[in-house]
Amino acid sequence: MKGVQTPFILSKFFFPVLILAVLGIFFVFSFFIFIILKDAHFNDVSNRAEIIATAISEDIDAKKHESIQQAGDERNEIYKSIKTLFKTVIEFNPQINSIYTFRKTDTEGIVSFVVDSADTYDKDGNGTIEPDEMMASIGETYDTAQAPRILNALYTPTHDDEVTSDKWGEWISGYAPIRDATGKTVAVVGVDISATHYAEYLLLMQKVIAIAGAITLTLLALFSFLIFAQMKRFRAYIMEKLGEIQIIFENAPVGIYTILPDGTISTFNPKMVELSGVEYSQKIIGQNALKLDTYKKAGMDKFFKRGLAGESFEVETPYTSHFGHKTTHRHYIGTPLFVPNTKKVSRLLLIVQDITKQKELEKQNVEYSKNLELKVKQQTKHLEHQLQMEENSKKAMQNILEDYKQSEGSLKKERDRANAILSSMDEGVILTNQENNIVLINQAGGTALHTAPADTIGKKISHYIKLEDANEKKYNVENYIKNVIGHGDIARIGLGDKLFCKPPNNSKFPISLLITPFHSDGISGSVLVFKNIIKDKQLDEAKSSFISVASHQLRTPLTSIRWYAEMLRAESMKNFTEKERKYTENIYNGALRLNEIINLLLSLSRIESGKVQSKIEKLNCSECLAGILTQLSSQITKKAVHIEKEIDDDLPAVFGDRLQIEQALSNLLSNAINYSHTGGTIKIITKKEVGGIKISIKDNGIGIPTEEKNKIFDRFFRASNAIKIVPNGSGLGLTLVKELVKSWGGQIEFTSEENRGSTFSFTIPHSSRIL
Amino acid sequence: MKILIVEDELPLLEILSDKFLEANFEVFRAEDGEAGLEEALKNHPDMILLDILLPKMDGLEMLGKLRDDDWGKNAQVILLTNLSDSEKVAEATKLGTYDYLVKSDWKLDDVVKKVNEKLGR
Repeated sequence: MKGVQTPFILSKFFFPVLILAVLGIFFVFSFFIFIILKDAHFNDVSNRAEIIATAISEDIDAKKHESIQQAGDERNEIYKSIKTLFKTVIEFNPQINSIYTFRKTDTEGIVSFVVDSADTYDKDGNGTIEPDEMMASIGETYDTAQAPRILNALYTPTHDDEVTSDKWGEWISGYAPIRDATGKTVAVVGVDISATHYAEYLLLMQKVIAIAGAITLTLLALFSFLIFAQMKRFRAYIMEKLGEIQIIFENAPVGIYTILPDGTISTFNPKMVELSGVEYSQKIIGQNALKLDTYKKAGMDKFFKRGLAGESFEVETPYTSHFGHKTTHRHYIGTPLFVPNTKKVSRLLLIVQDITKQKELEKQNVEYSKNLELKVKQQTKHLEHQLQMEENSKKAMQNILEDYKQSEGSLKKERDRANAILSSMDEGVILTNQENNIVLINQAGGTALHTAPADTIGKKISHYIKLEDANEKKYNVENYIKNVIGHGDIARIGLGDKLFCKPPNNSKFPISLLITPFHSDGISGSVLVFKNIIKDKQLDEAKSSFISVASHQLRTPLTSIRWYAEMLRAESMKNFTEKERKYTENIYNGALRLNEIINLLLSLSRIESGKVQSKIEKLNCSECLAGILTQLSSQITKKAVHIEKEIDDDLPAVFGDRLQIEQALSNLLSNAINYSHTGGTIKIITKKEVGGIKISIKDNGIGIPTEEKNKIFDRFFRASNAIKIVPNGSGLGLTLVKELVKSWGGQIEFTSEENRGSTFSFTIPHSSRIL
Repeated sequence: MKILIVEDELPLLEILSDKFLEANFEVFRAEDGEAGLEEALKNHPDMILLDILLPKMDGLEMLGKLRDDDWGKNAQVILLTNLSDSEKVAEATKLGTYDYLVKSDWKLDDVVKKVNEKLGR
């Protein structure tokens, strides 16, 4: 089979076998030629032997023969002559090996005379073999078993004058009868001619041919055996392959059939039967595929013709089977099978596959692909759009990134600055998170708490800030923090309360603590600013001491001046001159002014140093106002100002220090009275506000010049128009009011217009902020 | 009516004495805490005007000692001082005083009125 690789080596044996076969034929032919030649030569030699034997027998008659058998002189002469005759014949015929005679009896032949060519004779006819030896041969008898040919020659009637020849072994013997007078054969002359003498080359050739022939035959036999073995294997292989092919053919999942050159369907596998819808293959085998309508309708006849013409093809076509009339899609592969080594097509092999399902799938795939393509196009558009948006976003992001980088740089600067500020602060700063864990602490904080700042990070604030008072009563800082975060306000702890902090290393120190709520990105925490105020306390104590001492030291002589002036004033009414009374009055008033100034300064000092002791009580502002108005009644009357009150009906009570609130009210009302025009109106407005109340004192007096408003709360400052009205004012009244209001956590504000009046307002919270 | 004025500032002592003399008081004077205590226990004044910053024995110590006395524990005392020390004021209040007056803020007349008010005059 073309293209089949076999494990066999037949091709390799082909030439050797061919050669051997040729040689074998040659040798056989030669052998037969040789036999012919040999036979011819044998005949030739036989003829010669017969001729010689005949010639000798003519020379030797019965009588001579009889004579040589007997002893005596007569015999010797005859013997000699016969011997000479024989030798001469041998000399002239070297191929003759021996000449002899046989005496005939009824049953045997007896050698009666022999001359061998092996004898060496001199020219006289003397041989090396002694006559005895020669004579030893004489008398030898040959029976029929030993010399059947000779005896046959003696006893069998022969043709051609009863001369015969025979080949036996290496000899060709010619026999001629010796007859007596009656014509009866009494003896036979035999001439042995050696077979080796005839044609040396033929003998050589015979040997060569024999040997070569033997070898050739051996090899041929060997190769033949091998070929036979190979052939057997090949046959087995072929059978196996045929078996496989058969299995494939029977079980192939595709239809396989063959068409002969004339279009006849020759084979039809079971799958093809199934595809065709026939009952069995024999229904279709034998039909002409080129003429079947179903193939013609499918256009397959043209392809079959092409295939049968030697052209392979592959085609897909719808096909309606003749049997069952079912239309399917078929895939045909047509392969022409050629006669080996020719271009002649032996048959067309067809492989058929039902691709109906694939076609349907293809159709679906096409549909799917179309839809997919459409979707891809849509998605591509969408993606392009998104890409564009992303590009835009990317640009925006890049811009943001640049801005961020810039701001990051700024932020870093700010952070560095903040860190520098925090590092340089004397106060400790702690930032806590919602869980009251420390997230940030500055160096001063660590120093105050006698710990490395880094060691505190992540730990509870209450672990480090442990509060207690002078009686060692404990306070939890986290409660304060909770209040601060809950209220959203700042808490100041410690300044006036003698609070101590006891950090883990037990070194207790007086602490002033400020807690501020902290919100960032929805996360709550707190900022604690604290300080070891031992020095501040010492300073405070020194200040307190100073204030005490100063106040005492200033007031004591002042009291002296005032009281003596008072006494003098009383005296002056009786006994002094006008001038003396005036001087005394001035001394007294000066002392009063000085006293007022000293009191104000001392009050401010106390407030600023936090030394003010507040007595917190529930207050009714209306009552406070009434009290102040009573105190200022003479001033009010003197200026003839009209007081109006606008007080909310549901004004709530407030908690605060009565004296401080009254002081603030007194100062503002006093100013309003002093700087109102005579007969002016002062309105006191008290309103409820979120977190407390607001008290406003409004006058329609001289007002404050615009360019002087920003200094109105400065210590000792007096507006230029105020000095004209009240030359002797201290300039401390509003400063004190501001500090008082600040101390209870209120707000002070004012509006004013020169020559139209001023309105000063301050707030009092519901509860004091001092904890 | 007897009044004891305990004041180390002589001018103030003088003027207070004069004033109360004018007001028809019998005036006893002391310039330090020791003398003041002695005078108080000796003369049993109806009112004691007591300064706080005094030599030898300050006003609070004197007051404390005075309160230890059977008579002294009920003695009428008005602190008359220029001291602004709130602690001392609180301490004095604990020991029992009728009032606490800052000298520089009070007229002499008002001081006399205050004393008369307490004494029911």
